[in-house]
Amino acid sequence: MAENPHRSTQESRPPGDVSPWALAGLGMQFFAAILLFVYAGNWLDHRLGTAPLFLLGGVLVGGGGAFYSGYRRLTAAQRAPRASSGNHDDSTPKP
Amino acid sequence: MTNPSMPDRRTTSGVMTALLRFTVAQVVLVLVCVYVMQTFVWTDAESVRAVHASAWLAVIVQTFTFAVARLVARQQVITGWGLGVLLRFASVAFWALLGIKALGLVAGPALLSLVVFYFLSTLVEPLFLN
Repeated sequence: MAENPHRSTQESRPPGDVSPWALAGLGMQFFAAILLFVYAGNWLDHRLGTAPLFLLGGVLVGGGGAFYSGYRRLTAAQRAPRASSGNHDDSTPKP
Repeated sequence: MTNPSMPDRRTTSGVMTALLRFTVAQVVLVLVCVYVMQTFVWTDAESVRAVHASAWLAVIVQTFTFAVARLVARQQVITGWGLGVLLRFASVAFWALLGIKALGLVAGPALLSLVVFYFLSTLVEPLFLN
């Protein structure tokens, strides 16, 4: 039988461990969010003549929001394998 | 008789090799990016100076954070990665709040280019973290 090649690599990972590629995706999201907010802040500063107020706000809001979002996703990813292994233990037939 | 220091030396040389490869890769990426930015995006002298300063900061911070991430990632990948991202974000905040004013740089190009350099480095970092 042909087996899924990803299955063995996933199973060899300890529970809660996340692949570096998933982390790279999170990192790209993180800096893309900051980039977007910084760009928007820079644009607003040019339009309103408030430099560097919105630019700094963009750095802090974009970075803070992206970090919070990434943290939540990571903790959820860490919790998921543990929860599934807990369910597996409970799946034994009961009389 | 086995030398107990051998595995440590091997892992240290592995970290050093990965660090060297990552540094070369990110310097090439940053150089290409700087060339594109100063040719097509920010062509005035002040903006080019800001982009150059951000490029230096990005290379220094990324080399340091990669070394930290690589050392910590042996125990916990998430902790190492999280530390790296936090350090990078701290450097962006430092650059925005203090560095730009202290060096008299143009804020927009300096910050945008720094974040672009960090964004690109996260594309290649996993190749060297394994």
